[in-house]
Amino acid sequence: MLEAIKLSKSYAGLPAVSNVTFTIRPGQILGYLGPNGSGKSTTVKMITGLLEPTRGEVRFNGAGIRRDLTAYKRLLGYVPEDALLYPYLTGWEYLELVGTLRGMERATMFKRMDSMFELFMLHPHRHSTIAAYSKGMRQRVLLISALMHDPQLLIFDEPLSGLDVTSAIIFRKLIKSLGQQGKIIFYCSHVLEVVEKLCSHLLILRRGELVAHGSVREVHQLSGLATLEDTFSHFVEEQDAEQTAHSIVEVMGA
Amino acid sequence: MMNSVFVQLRRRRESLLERPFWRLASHFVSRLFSAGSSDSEESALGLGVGAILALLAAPGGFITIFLFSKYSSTIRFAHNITNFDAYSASLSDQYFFLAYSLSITGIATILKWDSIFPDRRDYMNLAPLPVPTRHIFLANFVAILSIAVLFAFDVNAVSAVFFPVLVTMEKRFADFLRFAPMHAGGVLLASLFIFFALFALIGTLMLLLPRALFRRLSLYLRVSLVVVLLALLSTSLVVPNLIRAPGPHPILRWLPTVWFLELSRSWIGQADPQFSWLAPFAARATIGVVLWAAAVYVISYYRHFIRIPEMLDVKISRGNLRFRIPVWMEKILLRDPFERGCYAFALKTLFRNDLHSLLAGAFAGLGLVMSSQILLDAVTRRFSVRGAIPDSDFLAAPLVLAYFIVCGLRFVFELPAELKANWVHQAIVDRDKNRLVPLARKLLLTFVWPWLILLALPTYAHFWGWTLALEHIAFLLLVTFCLADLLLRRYRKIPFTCGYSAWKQSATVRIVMHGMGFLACAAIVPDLERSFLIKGPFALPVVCALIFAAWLWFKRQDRDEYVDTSLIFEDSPEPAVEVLSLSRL
Repeated sequence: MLEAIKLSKSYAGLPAVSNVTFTIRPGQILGYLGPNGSGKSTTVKMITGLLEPTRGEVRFNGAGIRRDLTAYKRLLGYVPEDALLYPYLTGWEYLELVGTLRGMERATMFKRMDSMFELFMLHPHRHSTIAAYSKGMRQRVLLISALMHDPQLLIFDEPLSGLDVTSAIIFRKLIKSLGQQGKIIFYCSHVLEVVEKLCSHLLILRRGELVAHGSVREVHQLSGLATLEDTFSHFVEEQDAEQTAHSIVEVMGA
Repeated sequence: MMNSVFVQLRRRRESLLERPFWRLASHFVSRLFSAGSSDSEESALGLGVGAILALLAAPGGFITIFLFSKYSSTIRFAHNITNFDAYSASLSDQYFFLAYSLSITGIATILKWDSIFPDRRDYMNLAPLPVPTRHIFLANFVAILSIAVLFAFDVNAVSAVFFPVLVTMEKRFADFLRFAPMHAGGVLLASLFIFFALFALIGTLMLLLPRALFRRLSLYLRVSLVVVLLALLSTSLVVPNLIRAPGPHPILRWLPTVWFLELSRSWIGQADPQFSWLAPFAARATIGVVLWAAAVYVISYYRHFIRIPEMLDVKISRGNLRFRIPVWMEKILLRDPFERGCYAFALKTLFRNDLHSLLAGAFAGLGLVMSSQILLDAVTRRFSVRGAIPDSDFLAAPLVLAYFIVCGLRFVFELPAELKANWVHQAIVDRDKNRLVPLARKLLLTFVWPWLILLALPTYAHFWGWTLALEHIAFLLLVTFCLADLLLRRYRKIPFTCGYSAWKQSATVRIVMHGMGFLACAAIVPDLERSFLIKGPFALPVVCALIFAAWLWFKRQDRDEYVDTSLIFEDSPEPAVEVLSLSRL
């Protein structure tokens, strides 16, 4: 079970995230939503252990993650927002590096890498340098690196970014299956349609503060609106989208 | 036997790389040799580890070969040189090898300046993995140490063996065994000294300066350091004579090359009594910079690497200078929107990309060092600056500088900057309508003509009068114009946007041609110019007119012969075998 307890983070005194509390149990998929600058990435960095909270704590299976960060990271699979990989390594070399640093047994590592490359449709490109990969291919490499050690906790930050339709469909079904297997999944995204289909629970953040949290049905009930798009707009939108679109058209013709 | 040793070594290496720490250290080593931070495959010079090491090692070997004539008893006999002491004569060459070792190791370190400390990419890839931070810290330190030792060995490998062979070839083998380790020790120590001194400098600046200011200053500092190191190399022509001269010159005590020279010569009992006190200083300075670098590494590592995720959320602008030429000048110089757009794009790309600025700055720095050397040489040979006609060296100095700037920029134009972004040019620009040569020529001459007119013209007028100054500068403007045009022959690319660098295919020929061009600018052209100046005030203008007429004729011929002028964004190498397509005739 992953628990965030009153998580807060400030940069130079300015709060980025304030008092965010949530729990994800095995088998649950938490959709984490919020507009740009709402504190989503900061929360992700705190629960992955990259960033120390100013206040509050992240616990995994009852223990604070910072007590033994290395042990916690062994159980963690993380797909960051930017596919910032080493362009001079091949896809195979990159995963070998990640697997070795994770301390995976060599034979298991190579067997899984080979199968994953096949399943993610990267096998023909496994010995090409990452510099030659498209954005979608890089994203698939990141997904393999997050899954290959069979982690208990998965944290995805915009995982569908750049994926083609087939890969995105496979990925969505994969997340469902992983949830059914009892994995704990934290899913941060802007794509409301996917979040609505995938997640069992939702958390909406606005200016670093939690504005809605609960099961998908509970959040809909809270807003009184039928779709997630309307619910999201209800909680976080600060400007009239239609009016802004009209204004842009007017400027184009001015 | 050898085969089984190699197999054993390979197995040992593989088993070592299965351990996370050594895998990480190996990763940091390969990262230091790789392209850097850009995701673009073609963004860097594209040289592999082997090519980099070979490029660093090769000049030492060539120079040793050139020195053969100096130490060969047969050639000395042919020149009737009887009184020759190899140890005494080796002072200037030893100095050169030390200056070379310091400069090349220093420049290689400066080129890798950004990769020495782990960056955002490392953090994003390594921090989420179950690797303790101290392991990342130590693995990177091991990688840095390995690279320092590798650079030091590589730069000096050939010369450290063959130069002592040359010096001691008429002596006993025991003399070789005594001289070789002492010389090798000196050059290796010099390499390590400069590597760690620069490393300590980067770390100290990172510690002392705010991050935004450090990023802004970093590029200018790197270009300046490259110029200083090239200047240090060029001291090889002057300093050995100053060391031999009676009465110690005060500036010599500040040169690291002299410290290490005295150190290695003191080991073979050949130290100069005037400077022998500097020998222990070299060893102490090396130990000092290693300790300084280690201390700075520990502090800056914990201060910067650990804080990277916090910095990711705080956007830092580099604070680039905004420049724009006045509208009236733009209308005169840049004839259409295509030229105006591409001119601004090329200038900004040049000034805002580290690799491009660094290389262009290095060429300009080399030009500055060479032209200063020519001027210094002219002054030390007591040429008067007050004669009616200046000596050829005084005429050559600005031309040599201009030559290096133009050639350097032309080379840098070939290096793509963020190639994936060139879709914007491909999508907007009309490939058949626009001509690149006039634009690229204006870009090249932007960096030469202003200082020729604003600085060189009044300087020549001050020493030799306005008539000669105007003639000389007009001649230089014409020569640089023709040079730019020659280098841009059949040029069909927007600078920095094309994928394949033609220089890779014909690097050797181009280097030889540029070497010959340098000789022409340093000696042949100034001598010819001087001979025309001596003939009277009208001779040089007539020559200029003839050169211009020849250029016009050449351009016309070239245009008739070469019809394809459309822009290209993906250059391809010339085929190894050319098909004549005779069936089309």
